[in-house]
Amino acid sequence: MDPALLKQPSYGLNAAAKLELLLPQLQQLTQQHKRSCEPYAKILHSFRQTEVESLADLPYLPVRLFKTHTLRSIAEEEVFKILTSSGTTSQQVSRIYLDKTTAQFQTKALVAILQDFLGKYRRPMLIIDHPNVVKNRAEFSARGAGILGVSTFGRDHTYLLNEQMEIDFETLEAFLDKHSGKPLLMFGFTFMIWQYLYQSLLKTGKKVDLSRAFLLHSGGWKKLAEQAVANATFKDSLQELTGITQIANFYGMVEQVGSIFVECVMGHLHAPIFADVIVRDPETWGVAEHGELGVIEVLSILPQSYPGHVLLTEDLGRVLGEDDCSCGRLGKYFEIEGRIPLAELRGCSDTHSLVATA
Amino acid sequence: MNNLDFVIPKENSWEELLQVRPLSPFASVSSDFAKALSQQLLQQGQTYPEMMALGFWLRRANLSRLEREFTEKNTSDQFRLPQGLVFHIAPANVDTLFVYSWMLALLVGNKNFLRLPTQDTPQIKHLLNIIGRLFEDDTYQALRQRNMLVRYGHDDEINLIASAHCDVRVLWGGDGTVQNIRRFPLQPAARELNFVDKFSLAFLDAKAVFDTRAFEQLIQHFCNDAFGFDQRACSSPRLVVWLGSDHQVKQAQNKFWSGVVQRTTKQPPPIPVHLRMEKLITQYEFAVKWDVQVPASTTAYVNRIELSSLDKLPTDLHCGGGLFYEFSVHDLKELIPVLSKKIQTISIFGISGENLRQLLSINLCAGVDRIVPIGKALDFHHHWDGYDLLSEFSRSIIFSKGP
Repeated sequence: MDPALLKQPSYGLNAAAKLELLLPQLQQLTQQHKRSCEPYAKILHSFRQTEVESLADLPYLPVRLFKTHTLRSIAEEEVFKILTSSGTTSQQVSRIYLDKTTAQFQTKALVAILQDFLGKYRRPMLIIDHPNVVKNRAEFSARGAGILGVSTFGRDHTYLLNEQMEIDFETLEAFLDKHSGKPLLMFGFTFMIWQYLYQSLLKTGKKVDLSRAFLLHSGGWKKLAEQAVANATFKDSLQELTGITQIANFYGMVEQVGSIFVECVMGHLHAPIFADVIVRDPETWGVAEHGELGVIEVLSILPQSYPGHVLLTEDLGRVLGEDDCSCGRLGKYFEIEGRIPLAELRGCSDTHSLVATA
Repeated sequence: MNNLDFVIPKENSWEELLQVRPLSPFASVSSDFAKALSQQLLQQGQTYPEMMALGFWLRRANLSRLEREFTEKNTSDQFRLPQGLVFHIAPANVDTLFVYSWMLALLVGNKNFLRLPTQDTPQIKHLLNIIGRLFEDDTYQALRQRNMLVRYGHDDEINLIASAHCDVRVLWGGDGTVQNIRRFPLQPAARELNFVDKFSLAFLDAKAVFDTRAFEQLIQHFCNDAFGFDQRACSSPRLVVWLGSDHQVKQAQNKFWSGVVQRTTKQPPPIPVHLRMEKLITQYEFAVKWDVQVPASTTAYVNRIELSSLDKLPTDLHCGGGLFYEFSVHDLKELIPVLSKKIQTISIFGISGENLRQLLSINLCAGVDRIVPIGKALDFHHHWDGYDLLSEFSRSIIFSKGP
């Protein structure tokens, strides 16, 4: 990938220009990973390949494979960092092997994307988490990776929570005083923000003024959906308690760090120029019409060290449009509707365990 | 026995169940109950084909056939009586199976303590509704006292007590369940029937498939076998083996699978999206671990994996939902390596059953419990996994009349 690309405006290409940019690069990545990653080559060998004419023709990998297999396209000594998914709901975690180049691409892509939303000014940054989450620098959880990724975009990084997951009000007040009048950046995981910022403030009755901040958050709505908290409720509730009006969710995953999909003021997630999204019809696995609910596939030209450039996720969503969002950004925009629901399995005959055994 | 979550009939207790005596084999109250249940199922079961199948199995003609088979076991120097108390542990993968197990034991005269599947699927709810309502009728007072359909969690105490008192323990479950339940001792003279994880296959003659005039019917039969119970029944065909030359097989495969794809596109089987995703992932898992080919598919309902060998067939990776392992052979004999104890049903099309029978007899294969025509894979029979349930649920008494 040409690193100069990361300096271009992140949402500046229309559909045709973007296809011209992405298709050859993604095809080249397929070849590169086929040469260097044996399990990936075996997969391509087993699935008969069709002629690639569009992004949808590119062979995808189900994202789950990163949990069950070591998929890397670099020698062991080239591994610079290993990212792991948080793995709260299943015992298996994804392991993503990064070399220096990929790690750099990820950081730069993230900066390019966020600059579009926040400008070039590096804001004082408040992290809704506790500092221990990023202690081990060789192996990161998704949470740690997210925090460090976004951190490069802020300064004076301050952690809001202590290890007991309580708000450290002293630190918070000191931070707000020190940077009074300046725009701030806040970052955290959706659920943590809800549970440990919003719920704590609600319980303690303390008022804080965060109206100067831009709150960026990610990490999925699953736990919030269980509490019937949707994006709108999330935004309204936080605004009520903290005065914060700029809140943006983003969709991303540890398997494709860097090329994240950030929510605009219209509430739409946007694909930047080095990434794209395809929604697949779960009846056929073909491409779903715009507006139709389907399974999300994500494409990114950043992954050089592992075959994660075209991934079929287990999330549901729909493409809302392309090149015509009223926020002005070009490219596809979409929304996520959560994970594919796990209707209870019939249990493969085993009466005592729900794990498929037969 | 205090932790039973759900009991039909409501007023029944374990203590009472232990005290009452069994009934005579094929007592009229038992047959009447079975017939009434059959009627209800056939009237109300239209939405669920498996309910219709159960209703059909319980109809008068089949009950008489069962009774005849049972009484024919009585000879001038032998007769049969019920075992006593049967403890059934129902499977989670086939909603209707507990009724078959229960009704056979009941017809023979036994008292029954039956653990229902933990999951409350619409099918099970429907069944329990019908059964509950029938039990309200005082005509079936004698059966009310002698049967308990219960639901409970992972409760060692209940398993322990039920195991200690039953005369037969019937376990429909996976290998894991069998190991778990075996921890609970039975009475020395009690009998245990374990229906363990099995794997089934369809065996088709390529030329016969290509040439058949009843092609649509073949496809319909295969789809019924394959997509019923989300392809998670032990008898669901999960491996499709073709017999024929390479060319014949190729031709037949193309025709056959486009037929299946067409049919499932027109009438999509109720496979949940996550299961369609599981199948896809299984294909990738296979591709990484084995030497396989994965043909492209235009529907998310049919997924195939062409194996390059039947050796070490990874049966436990199969997730159901319309996933088909495939293999072709030139000769019947090539099937032998796969016919382990794990194999239950071979459903056949265009294959001579007699040849298969010879193959099994001559080679003394360890596996295979059933050979049926395609379309009959999911039909229940009281001879199951090598057991004759009418015999197992009863005991025979021999009397010698002297010289």
